[in-house]
Amino acid sequence: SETSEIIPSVETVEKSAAIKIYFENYFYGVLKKPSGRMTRRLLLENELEKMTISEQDKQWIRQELLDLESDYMRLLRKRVAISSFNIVKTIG
Amino acid sequence: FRAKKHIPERTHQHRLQKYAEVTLGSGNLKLAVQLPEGEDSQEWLAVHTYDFYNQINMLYGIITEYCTPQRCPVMSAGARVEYRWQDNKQYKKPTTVSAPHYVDLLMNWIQGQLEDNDVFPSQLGAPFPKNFSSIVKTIFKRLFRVYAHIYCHHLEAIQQLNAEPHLNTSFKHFMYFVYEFKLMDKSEMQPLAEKITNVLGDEYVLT
Ligand SMILES: [Zn+2]
Repeated sequence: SETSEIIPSVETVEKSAAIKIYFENYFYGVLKKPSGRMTRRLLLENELEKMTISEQDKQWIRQELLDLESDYMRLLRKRVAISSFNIVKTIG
Repeated sequence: FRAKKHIPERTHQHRLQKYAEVTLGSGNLKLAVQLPEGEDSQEWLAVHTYDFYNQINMLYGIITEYCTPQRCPVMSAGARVEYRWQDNKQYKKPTTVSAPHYVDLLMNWIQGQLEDNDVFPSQLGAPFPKNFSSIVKTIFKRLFRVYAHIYCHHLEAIQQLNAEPHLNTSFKHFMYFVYEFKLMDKSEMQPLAEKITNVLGDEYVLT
């Protein structure tokens, strides 16, 4: 067929190698157990266990962590935006 | 999109394998897309929209030598589906453009949305717009077309570069996300109906 007649350039081979590593790394993070979010929650629960404060205050602290997780995603979005536009540019 | 008529039934579907596709890792992507307890769904949609844009940008980026205006003079997904571009700016009516030009217009349009602070607020605490979910749906509908073009016309190139598991994993993640948050109509998914079943599993059959 036509495709197999095309020999990919060195640039394409290099770019695809870099991108494959990006994907492997990305999905390792997505599929990792426990997730980063879960790990943070467990750490917090461990800390809360040791604290002598009211259940209402604990609930308030849990909500703080949830808010931080949301903020973290927003910051991640900012960073992804910058890095993604550069990746293809730098490699390609 | 519009279905092209009078073209013989010799589609990409026949080339698609009839077995579970090879992917990266063995974890559960279907669970990974679910909204974490207590998380804001718009924030979750936003960060994934960025991720999928990013992934497709990279996947298409490695086949640009194969996807040229000469080889792909129209943006298609198989022999029967042609996508025409319309943006109510330069292209007031649905217009046939080459696949690379179409993908360029499409990705630029999405990038414009992602960089628009009124649509995807980047400041902490700033709210999402009222029409956020409809914008996200349009973005997903358009991103799907790039997967469709790659699968239907450049799968061999992807195989040549040993990137098929990466493409499949990305697409699987994307489709689970689409199903979880009901982001696309089934009719839009038709060009990859068989691929969806092969990648996601037998319970994902489009009829
Ligand atoms: Zn093409």
